[in-house]
Parts: sequence; structure tokens; C-alpha cells
Amino acid sequence: MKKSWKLLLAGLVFIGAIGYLMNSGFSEESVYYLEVSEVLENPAKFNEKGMRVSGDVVTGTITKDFKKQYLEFDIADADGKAMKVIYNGIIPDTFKEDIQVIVEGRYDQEAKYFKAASVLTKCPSKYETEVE
Amino acid sequence: MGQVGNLFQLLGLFTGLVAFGLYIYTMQSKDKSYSKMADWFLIGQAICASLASVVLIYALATGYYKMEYVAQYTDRALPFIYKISGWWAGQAGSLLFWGWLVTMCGIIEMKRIKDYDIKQKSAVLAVLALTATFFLVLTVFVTSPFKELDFFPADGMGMNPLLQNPGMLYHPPTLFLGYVGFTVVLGHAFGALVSKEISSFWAMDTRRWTMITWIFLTIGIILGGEWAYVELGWGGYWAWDPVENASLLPWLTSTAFLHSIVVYERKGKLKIWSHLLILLSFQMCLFGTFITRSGVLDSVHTFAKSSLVYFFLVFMIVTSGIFIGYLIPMIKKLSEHEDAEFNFSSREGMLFLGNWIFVGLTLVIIVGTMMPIISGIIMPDKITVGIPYYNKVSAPFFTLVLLASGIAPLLSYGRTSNDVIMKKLLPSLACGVAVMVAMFVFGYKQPLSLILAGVTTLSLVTIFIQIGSGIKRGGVKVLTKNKRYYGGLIVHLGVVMVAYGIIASSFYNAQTDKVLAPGEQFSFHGYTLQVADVKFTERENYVSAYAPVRVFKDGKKLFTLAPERRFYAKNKEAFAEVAISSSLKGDLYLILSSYSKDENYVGIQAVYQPLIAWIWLGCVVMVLGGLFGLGGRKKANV
Repeated sequence: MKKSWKLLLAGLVFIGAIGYLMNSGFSEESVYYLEVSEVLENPAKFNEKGMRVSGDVVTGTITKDFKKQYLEFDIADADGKAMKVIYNGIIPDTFKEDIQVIVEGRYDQEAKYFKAASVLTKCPSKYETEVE
Repeated sequence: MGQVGNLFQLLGLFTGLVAFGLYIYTMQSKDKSYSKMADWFLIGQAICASLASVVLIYALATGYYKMEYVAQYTDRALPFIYKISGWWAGQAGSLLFWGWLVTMCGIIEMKRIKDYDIKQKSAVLAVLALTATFFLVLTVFVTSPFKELDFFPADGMGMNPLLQNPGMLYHPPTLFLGYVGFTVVLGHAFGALVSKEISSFWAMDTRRWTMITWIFLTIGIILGGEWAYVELGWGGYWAWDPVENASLLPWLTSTAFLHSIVVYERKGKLKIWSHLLILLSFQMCLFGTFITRSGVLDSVHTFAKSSLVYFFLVFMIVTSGIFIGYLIPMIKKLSEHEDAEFNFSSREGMLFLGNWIFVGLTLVIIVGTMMPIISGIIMPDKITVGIPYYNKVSAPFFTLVLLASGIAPLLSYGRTSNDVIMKKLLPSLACGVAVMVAMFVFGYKQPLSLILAGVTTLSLVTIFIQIGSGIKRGGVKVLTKNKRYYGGLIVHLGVVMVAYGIIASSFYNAQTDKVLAPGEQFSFHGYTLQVADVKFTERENYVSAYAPVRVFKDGKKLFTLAPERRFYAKNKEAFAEVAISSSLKGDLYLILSSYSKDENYVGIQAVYQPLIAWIWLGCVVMVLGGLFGLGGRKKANV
């Protein structure tokens, strides 16, 4: 009987530790995962944690400067809600018009643009192409 | 041609279904004649799946672009070898590939266990037939590689340049081999439950399957990291991407399984636990594909959304349900002799603790990976986690598991008194602390890196002590006498090497971005890098722009690296091809991030990754250790 108590206790401690770890992981290291329209509705709230936003790059809105590592473009969600994104850093090879991207960062409410810390492009081809 | 391929996979589906039905019937009736019939149907399924695969490969090789799949993943300019790799490059083809591998496992196992008890044999082969059939259901009804377009395109769309790398030839197949093998082991676990068998025979008998599958999984994961490192051009090898996590999960659970069956065999404990771990390992392999192929999560790897999700979910739930349905009535019998003492100061106790750690780590990774889905259900706003979450939550588990691997081999089965433990542990502990102090003195002061390096060293020294004392007791031949144990220690040695590589490269890497005029130089991590103007050269299916960078150290020229950007015929944008100078001390990694002839500048990103080569070397040692351990000792209790 004593042994099983010991085991149970160890188990509880272990589960407690995992719970604590995940909880602190989520509260400190998570970001909101949103659509463009959601960001625009309540940017102040989401800026607290930061956010990851997915959307399509709008054709004709891209400004690229490789030398200055500056990238500016609009992304839109399925309903057509769009916002401006500015990113400073190495521009991904696969970045171009009309693809889906995931940007992570915060929304600047005064200047009305999304300051992206990272831009992730969804990989083309392997990952599904349409045959016309 | 599409119809022919489709016919074969359809036939494969039906023969597999019949084989499954007959095996289930044989399981109940123990009628030998039905079993024989079932065998023929299983062989039939393997032949059909092989023929369907041959048709697909032929279509890929000859460029039959009327088949949508062929047109999607290949084109005329694609080198032949990559055309063939189209088999597993896309969703439909890779599912067929997986199904085919399962049928091959079925044939091998059918031959191997032909003289086994009919109930056990039928249960094993039923599991294999069902799994292979499941994949054929997917390729027939959900996403067929043989679907034909109503016109014949002049050329295909070509393969993503990122995939045109030798990695494409060996990384996906090794990973798939690492996924399918557990089907056989699960079959035997199921067979044992059906036959109400409690001995560890099923687990020991399939140890080779488990080991080989585990070896492939290990290679697959580490090669994937290596591929990402040389090809994706961001200087790292692991980003906790959902797809990477998906391959790590079955590795963690199967590693736990490998340890728990040792206790099962030696002490007759952890029986239920072992059954659950093999079930979990099998399901984690499916879960990985489910994640990869379904598009439920956003990941750079993800395919488009499809109804595959539901098929996977149903299959996973049904198979788990059946397995657990047979396990529950056996719980009492399986746990009968387990009440005997169990404490943590014994080797089996430490192995059990190690198992908890592996399962705990699996859990936090699953929850992290699924967070967008879970939070979408239980919270007002969807949230997601990134690399910092995983690094933070996984670090304590890695620390503990390394610590356990440093202590467990020193303990004996049964009970070891605390005095003896302390005495045995002292040298390892002392070395661990010494390394921490040394690192601190030399300026490597990040606390977590010190702890991790300390426990890694503890684990390393324990390995040497165990091997050393083994040889002292019985001479060198002791190593080949107990291949399983010493093979395990060699695997641990590999793990330790990988751990050092990961610790150094995660905590002490350096990075810089420079935009310079040709001829200018900059210093980075003790090197001086001089950048020359961009040159161009034309290759088979791409044009390469490259910038020769001359690397100096202490005024002496070491070598020239040439990071490139490639322009493939089919793609408008450029793909960076990095240049790496690798040594045991560390890698200098250069990316040509931008350039302009008109504006006369070259942009270089330089990364220094200390000890990263040890990750790949450690993988080799892990694999060698695994192969060494395969020899095993022939079981006396068969």
C-alpha cells in the first residue's frame, strides 16, 4: 500500500509540474492567431501578447528593397479586409504576389500598419498547385 | 494509363479487405484453410499495390502529364532521379507509397511467423491488412495519384526547387520506413491481447522490427534537420514546425517503448504501459501524417485542406478503440504480478521515470502543436505558440532525461541503496560539475546551457564507466556477449554527442547581416570575410548567381566560400543556396541574401554554428549502436 501511495504522489507531482510548465509556457510564449479583420477590430487587445496573422498578399502592393532589407505589402483575408504590413529583414525567397503568408508582430495603431517581426511564406508546389 | 493504375489500387483495396475479413474469421475459428486463403489475398494485395506503384513510377519517368499528379510534381526539365522521387513528393503518391510499404511489411512478416500460433498470426496479419487497406481507401476515394485530366498538358508544373536536393531522395523514404514498422509491432501486441498472453514474448520477438523502425525514424528526423540546415538557408535545423514535431512524437513514444519492454522482459512489470506505448507510437505515426496532409494547422509544410482529416480521425479512433477494447479485460491479468515493490532507486524505477519524461514531453509537444485548434474551441481567441514555447517547456524534460540516462545504467535491478548509488555516481557527477565550472570560466555563462551540458557530461561519463567496468570484468568479448546492453550504451553515446551539438549551437551561435560593395571586407566571429563581385553560371535547369567570399583568419587565407542564388527555369523567384565550411569545432555558414549589379552591392548573411557537426556524427553513432544492439542475445525464454 505504501508503495502505491509513493507512486501516486510522484505521479501527482509530475503532472503538477507539467501543468505548471505548460501554463507558464502558454501565458508567456503564446501569440494570438488571427484573421486580418479580427486584428482591425481590436488591435489594442491583441498587441498585449502579439499576434500571428495569415492572409493573402494583395497584388500590386509590394515594395521591396533588398539592400535596405525593407518590405512593404498589403495582406487581405477571405472577406477582402486588408492591412498594410511593414517588415525589415531578409526577404524570403518565396515571397511574391498572390501567395499566402503568415506574419508575426504587432499593429501600430497610430501609423495604421502591421509591424512584422517575421514573414513566413507558405511553400508552393510540393505543397499543392492548381493545374490550369 | 491512369485507369490501369486505378484498377490495380482498387483491386488491392478489395483483396486487402477480403484478407482482413478472413484473418478475423480465422482468429475466431482457428481454421487453417481460411488462414491459407487469407495469406493468398494478402499476397494479392501486395502484388496489386506494387503494380499500381509501378504504373505511377512509369508515368512519372515517362512524363505522362495527362495524370494530374505527374503534371503537378514533375516537368520535362526535371532530372530523372527527381522524377522518380515524385512517388513520395506529393500527397497522393506518398500515401500510395506508405500503403505499399505496409503491404511489403505484411509479406515479410507473413513469412517470418508462418509457424506461429494461428490466432497470433491471424491477428498480426489482420492489423497489417487493415492498415494497408486504409491507405488504399485514401488513394482510391480521397486523393488518387491516377486521376487523369481531360486534356494532355505539353509539360508539367515541375518540382519545387527546394525539393530538388539529394535530401528528397532519402529523407522521405527513411521517415516513411520509420512510420510503417510499428504496424507490425502493434499487430503482435494485439495478437498477444487476443490470445490472452501476458509474457513479454510479443515485445521481444518484434524487437528487431522496433529497433529497425526506430533507427529509420532517427535517421529520418536528423536527416530532415540536416536538409533544412543546408537547403532552407536560415542557418538552423529545427524550428518546432508542426511537421517536424510530427516526426519527433513517434520517436519519443517509441524510445519510451524500447525502454519499457526491457522492464517488461526483465521484471515482468510495465506490461500495460508497454501495450499503451506501442499503440501510442503507431497512432503518433498516423497523427504525423494527419497533421502533414490535412492542413488543420498552418505550417510551411502543410498541404491544402482536404477531407483526409476525417478518414484519419476515424481510423485512429476505431483502431485505438478496438485495441483498448481488448486491453481492458486483460488489465487485471496483466497487472497481477506487478504489485511487488517498485522504487525509484532501481534501474527499472529509473527506466519507468524515464518513460514518464518521454510521455510528458510528447504531451507538451502535442498540446503546443494543436494549440490553434484547442484554443479555438475552448477560448474566445485562437492562440498559437512558437519556438520559444517549445524551447522553454522541453528544456526541463531534456535535462531530466539526460540525467536519468546518466544514472540508470549505474543502478541494478531490484534495489540499490543510496550509499552505493552515491558512490557509483560520484565520478560522473564530478565530471558534470567540472564541465559546468570550465564553461563558466571560459565565458559560456547561460544558466540553462550550463545545466544541460552538466547533465550531458554526467551521462557521457556514466557510459564510459559502464563500458570500462564491463571490459574490466569480462574482457572485450563482454561487449559482443551482451550486444543489447552495450548497443544501448552506444546509442546513448550518440545521444550525448547530439546533445552537445544542440546545446552549443542553440546557445552560442552568432549571426550577422552585411551589405557591402564588392571587394569590401568585414569581420565576423574571428574570421575576416572579403566579398567579391557576383558571377553567373548556367546549369542544366537553372542559372546560378554566386558571390565568392574569401575567408581569412589571423591574416591567413583559409578558403573561399561561394553562396549562390539560383534561378530555375519554371520559377520567377530566386532560391538561395548556402555555402558551408564545416568542421568539428563549428560551421561557418554563408547566405547570399541579396545583390545588385547596377547598384553595385552584395548582401551576405553569415552564421556561425558551434559543434553542429556533432549532431550529424551523433546520429551516425546512434544508428551504429542500434545496429550493434540488433544482434541481441537469442532469447532463452522463447
